[in-house]
Order: sequence, then structure tokens, then C-alpha cells
Amino acid sequence: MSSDLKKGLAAASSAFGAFTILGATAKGQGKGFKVGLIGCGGRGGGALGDHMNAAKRLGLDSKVVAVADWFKDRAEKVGTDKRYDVPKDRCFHGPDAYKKLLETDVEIVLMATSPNFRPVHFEAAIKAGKHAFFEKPVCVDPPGGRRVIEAGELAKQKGLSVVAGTQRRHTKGHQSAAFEIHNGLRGKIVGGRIYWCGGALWYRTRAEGQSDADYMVANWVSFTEMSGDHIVEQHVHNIDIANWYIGRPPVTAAGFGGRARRKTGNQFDFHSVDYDYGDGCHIHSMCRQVNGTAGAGGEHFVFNTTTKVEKKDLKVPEFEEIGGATQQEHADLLYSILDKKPYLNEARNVAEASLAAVMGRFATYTGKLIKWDDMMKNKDSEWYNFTCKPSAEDFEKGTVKAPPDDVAAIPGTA
Amino acid sequence: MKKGRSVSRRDFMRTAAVAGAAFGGFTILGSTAKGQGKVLKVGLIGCGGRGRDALRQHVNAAKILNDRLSLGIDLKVAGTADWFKDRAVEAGKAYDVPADRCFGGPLGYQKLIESGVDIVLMATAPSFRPLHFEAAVKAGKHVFFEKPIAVDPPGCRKVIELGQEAEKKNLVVVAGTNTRHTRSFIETQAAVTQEKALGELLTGRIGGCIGHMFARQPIQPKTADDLVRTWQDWIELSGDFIVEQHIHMTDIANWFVGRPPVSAYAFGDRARRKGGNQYDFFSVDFDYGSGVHVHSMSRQMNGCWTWGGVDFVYEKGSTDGDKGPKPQQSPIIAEVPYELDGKLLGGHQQEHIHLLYHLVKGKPLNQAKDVALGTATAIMGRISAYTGQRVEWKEIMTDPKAKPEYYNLTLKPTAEDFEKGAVEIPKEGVVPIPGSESGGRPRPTPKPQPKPQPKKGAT
Repeated sequence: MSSDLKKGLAAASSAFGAFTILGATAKGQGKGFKVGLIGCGGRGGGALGDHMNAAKRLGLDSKVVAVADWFKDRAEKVGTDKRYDVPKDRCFHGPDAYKKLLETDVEIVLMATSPNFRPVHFEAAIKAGKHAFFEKPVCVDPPGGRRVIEAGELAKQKGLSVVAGTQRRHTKGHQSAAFEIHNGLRGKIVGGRIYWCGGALWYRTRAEGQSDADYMVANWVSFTEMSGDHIVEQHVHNIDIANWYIGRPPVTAAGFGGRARRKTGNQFDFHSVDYDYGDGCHIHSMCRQVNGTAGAGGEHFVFNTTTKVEKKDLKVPEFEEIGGATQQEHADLLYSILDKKPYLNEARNVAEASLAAVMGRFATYTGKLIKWDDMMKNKDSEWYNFTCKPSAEDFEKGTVKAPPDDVAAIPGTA
Repeated sequence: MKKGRSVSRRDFMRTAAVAGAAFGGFTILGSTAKGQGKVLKVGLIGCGGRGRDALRQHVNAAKILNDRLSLGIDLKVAGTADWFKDRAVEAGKAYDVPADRCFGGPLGYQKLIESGVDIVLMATAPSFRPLHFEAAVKAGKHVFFEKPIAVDPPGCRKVIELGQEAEKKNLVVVAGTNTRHTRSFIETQAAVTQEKALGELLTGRIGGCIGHMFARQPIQPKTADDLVRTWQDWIELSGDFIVEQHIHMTDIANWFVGRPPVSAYAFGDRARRKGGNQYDFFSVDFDYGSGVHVHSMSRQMNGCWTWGGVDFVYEKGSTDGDKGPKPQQSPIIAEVPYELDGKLLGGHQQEHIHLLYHLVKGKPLNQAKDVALGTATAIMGRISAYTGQRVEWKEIMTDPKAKPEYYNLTLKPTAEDFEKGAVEIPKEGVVPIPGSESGGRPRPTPKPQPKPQPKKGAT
């Protein structure tokens, strides 16, 4: 554990009486947490179910006390589920529903809206002193990613646990592999390929009279401004593994991508990116959402086995994985909150994976080589300040103008 | 030239003997060399910029070899051929080729080959190469042919077969994959691939990403002439630029890995071009088997990241092919000149030096298979990008039954169509779209609903 984390833990136990009491009472009396969900779509409902199952597994009597969604019917559909039975006046909807939810006595907030909202919601949750589970990705642009990293630091100071929906970090297989790699047992990673290539996702067309904002929220997996494009929205899983195993985010991205078959929104259908991780290590990232094409998935790393280290006494720990990774991630969040396992804060990891994916998207949209430092350090760079519009703030202010359907970026110049 | 394919001394002698028996002309050349000038007649098919440069480099090579090794080659440019007669005449002028030996039209190449030349240089659009190479080999000519050497799998296989026939006939065949003639690359390849100076190859990348090339506006072709004049913009003639240009890199990858890839998994698109029917970029995951993958990147677009080169990663380090490491035993033939006035001659000049040197010395040199495999590799990447399918080597090259639509894929109009005058003009700007038309699963659209009014003063 890093000294930073230890500091965070120490701060946590002194600053949060409630934390300690909860921990103590939880063990004895099966008390639980008050849980809230922001973003009541399929993944949000799934995450809530996973969370409650994990809580039960840990002997906690947690309760869903509030839900929030852009759409009223969505919020109420999840909130009034028999398992949760949230009063209707605690099923919030609309652009500021998340604020209302955070004003309640909720202790753990799950976030599963479209990712463009995540930096704002996450920051608000941490400022309000809530533990957080937030779905991947956590941003669609560099300012959003940096905001999540900053809020993650604040969470550390406040001793708030943060788990992200990059659930591969919670599988036995990936954790064992990471343990071996980080201990040098497999040798150095010198290259690799990561794939998320499959068929087309769902989409929605605009209903008659539907506002720009409603349309974009309903059809969010089709708009770059909402999802970050599927390289960010979906492929972030694989990119996160690369960052994790290699131990750092990439230095640059050069990419190739295009729109081939989509009907709505403005995303690409495929991205093929050369990520330079420095020290001669390049990862070829490939993602595609086109029906009738050859699928491919997973992460394939190339190890220089001649650099393998022998550590005979080193045993790979028994990592827990019960109910699948999407339940285990919630169990791990609860372990951290309850102080049963080391403090967990995945904000930086998931932000860096999201940002690496954003960097890949910039590369495929423009054809240019994009540098990590231009997104993260060089304040004069166009990439440092690049903000997808309409932004989360536009949705709150009601100043949303939807980009035209089926008009995508064209790399290069005429 | 290259250690791996160099022939033992005894083989050399046998080859020379076969050559002597089979080819009177060849023997005479060899024997006269010592005493006096030997006449070698060269002809050029395809008199565009690359063809004329190749001819100049060829003539220059003879001069360099004569100056440095006193080979006494009396090289004569005996004829030219081009689809357009005026181009043939123009190219011939520089060498005083009589106009009646400058052939035009679809059958100009045949007339040139029949005109008594010893060496044929070929630099037409690559779609014509298999047919022209066939005519040259059947007629017993030594050949220099520009890359790529075909635009489809049957063309590649044909060139491989003809290369074998050329070998039996002791014909020298040199390809325009000029990196194979660049000293630094020859030495590095020997060091890393044959001597394993850096240990095992682990992974690699190859890049051919440059700015926009060729047509700036729609071409709107109406005739075969229009297509031939703008061949670099039509996949039926060029193979698309991944084949036409990037073959250099796929060939280097095959050379350094030591074999062609097992499969290609590719992405590509047309983004900016206005003329022709090619893509603008390809990004290919070539699986070379045994866990070795090479990421191939090629693009012809302005305003984008550019990179040309290779990066191969080994257990003990990586190489760009140019900067070493140096081999223990150099495959370079010591007496072959690689420099002039202290400057490297470069691959384009060197390939003709290698051709003439091997020809005159009676040493075997036949690159038909190498360049055909490099071409087929690029074609495999192209098919994968166009279709979105994973394309396997066996499907295009070795197993007629695995995927007959790839194995037999023949781009039309073919070279034969051009000869017959049966040319159908391809549709401009119409390119393959990977995958199938069904685009996602539409979900029911929610009804519009009243939005809660934000509180006054709320942000």
C-alpha cells in the first residue's frame, strides 16, 4: 500500500465518526448502508441489484433510499421495484435530480448515467461526503477526466471509498495476472493487442416533438458528447487492463477510425489505435461495433520472458470473486468502507483509462498523434481544454443543442 | 546477395553449367565479358515516372559496375513500350531508341519482348504485371519488375509459379522492393533473423503513413485510356495503396519475420479522396503465428500523423532495420559497389546493380516469390479491411476450397480485359463498406414527457 493510501486511511478514521460506528455496528447487528442510484437505465438497475446482493452477502441490511434519472418513468420504474420500494417522492428526475438525491441521507451513491455527466455527479457526491460506485467510463473529455482525478484525491482525503465499473479489476483471473506481472513473474510487457470488436449496439431515433436534450439522453450510446464514442464507452475496459498491467497510461496515441454503418448520432463504428506506452512498448487497440464483421475480444500481452523473475516464496493471493465481477466490485467497495480490506479508491485508474480512450478517439477523429501531456499538463494545448458540447452543464442549464445525426468527424484535411 | 538464399559453390557451378547449356546467349555473354564488351539489350515496359527512373538507374548500374569491377557491360536500351505510344517514344528518346522500337497500345509489351531484348524492366500499373511477367519468362528474359506484382490472389500465385519457371531457366528476377537492396537492411536482417543477434522476435509495427497522393478531384473516367492514365487511383489497377505503396513495408515484415502472416484483421476507410475508388487508410493486425503480431499502419491523407518505417521488438532490444545490429558474417558480397563518391547509392540504384551483377556473374537471384508474398500480404490486409472479416493466408493462397471467393478474387477490369478492349469503368467514389447493412437494434423511442421546471435561481 502506498503511503498516500495509509494517510488517507488515517484521515478517514479520525474524520468520520459515522464510518467507524458503521464499521462496528455492521459486524454485530447486521446494519447496513443507505444506498442511492443516479442513472436508472439497464446498467444502473443491474448495478443496484449487484450492490444489494453484495451487501446481503456481507451480512449488511442495506436499503435503497433514493433514485434519480433524467426521465421520470425510468426513476420510478427502478425505485418502485418491489425489492427496493423507494417512496415516489424519493424517485427524483430531471437535470438536477442527482442534487436532490445527494441532499438526502444516502451514504453510498451508485452512478450509471451516460458518462458525460459523471465528472459533475462524482464531484458533487464526494463533496457531499458519499462513498461512490461509478460506472465506466467516467468522462468524455480531458477536463472531465482531470476533474474526476481531483475529486478522487478529495475522496482520499475524506476517506471515502470509490470503486469504478471497470469490473475486470475485481476478477480473480485479472487480479492474479496483475499480481504476477507486477512482481515480474511473467517478464516485462513489450507489446500487445486489446480488442473489443463486436456487432452494432442499440439506438433510438428521435420521437416527434422530442427535445434535443431528451433525444440525446435517450439515444446516448450514439453521441460522442454523451458516451465519448464506443472506444471510450466500451473499449475502456480493455484499455484499463493495459494501463493496469503495464503500470502507467500511454504517452501518445496514433489512430485510424471511421463511421461505416451507424444510422443515428455521430460516433465512429471502428477505431484502431497504436498506443505508445513508452520504453518501446506499443499496444494495438482495436474496437468495432459493426454487424456482420469478425469479432474479437480481450487483452493479449507480449512478455519478454527472458526478463522473468523467479520468486519461489511468493504465493499468488487467493482473490475473492463471488457472484461474478459485477457483484464482486460492490463487495470490494463495501469491504473498503467497512475497513475489512485496505482502502479502495479507483478514481484515478478509471479516469486514466477513460482519458487514454479519449486520447485514442482524438487520434482517430483527427488523424493526428495525440500526446498524453497535451491533455493533462500543457494548459495551452487545444486538447487540454477540449470540452464536448453540449456538456453536462448545458443539460442542467437547458442549453442543449443536439449535433446533427449522421455527421461524423473526418480525419485529416482536404 | 542474402545469406539464407545464397548458393553453395558447387551449386553455383552447376547453375552456371545449366545456364551455359541452355542459353547460348548467356554463355557468350559470360565468355566475352573478360576480353571485350558484352552486349546486353534492355527494354522498358511502362514509361511513367517510375519506369523512366528505373531505366536510368539500370543504365547507370551498368556504368558503375564497369567502372568499379571492369565488367565491360555494353548495355543498350533496345526498346520501350507503354499503353500510350507517345510516352514510349518520349522515354526512348533519351537513349536514341528508334521510334519503330517504341511500342504503344495494349500489346506493346509483347512486341517489346519479341524484339530481341535480354532484360525487361516492368513498371506499368501492377494489374498488368502477372501477364507481362508471364510473357517475359516464357520468352526467357531477365526481369526487373516494380512492386507490387499483382492486385489479387490469383495474380500473386501466378507470379510465384512463373518465378519457379524463371529459376529453372536461370533467369535473374529482381523486384522493386528496394529495401531488400539497401545495405543497412540486408545486414540488419541477417543479424536479427539469421544470427538472432537480438534473440527471438516478439512483436513489431510497420508504418507507411504519408500525405495525400494522386487525384485531387473526381477523375470521371470514360475510357480505358483514362483509367491507365490515373491508375494509382483505382483498386483494379493499383490494388489500392496498401498494395501499391505499403507492400514495401509488408515485404520487410515478411523478410524480418521470415514468413508471411497467417491472417489479417483489419480496419480501413475512405475519408477524403475525391478521385478513384481507393481507401485513405488501413490499420491491420497481421498475425504471423507463434504469438508474433505486427501492426501495419498505412495512410495517404493530409494533416495527419506521418510515419514511414519499421519497428521490430526482440528479446534483447529493438531495431528500425537501418541502424543495426551488424551481423557477424555479412551477407554483402564484398566486391559489389554500394557507394559512389562516399555516398550510399540507395536501394533504387542498388537493385539494378544487383540484377546486372548477378546476371553477368551467373549467380542466381530471383525475388519473384518474395515480392509475390509481400504483395499477397498487403492484399490479405485489404480484403480484411474491405469486408471486416478476419482473412487467412490459406484462404487466399494455399487452400482453394477454404474461401473460394477470396482465393479466386479477380479484380475487373483485368489485364486481359484491357487487351481485349472489354473494359468496364469502375464507379468512382464507391468503396466497400465492411460488415452487413443491418445497423444495430432500434429500441422503442420513449414518449416526450413534461420536464420539471428548475427552481428559480438554480444554476
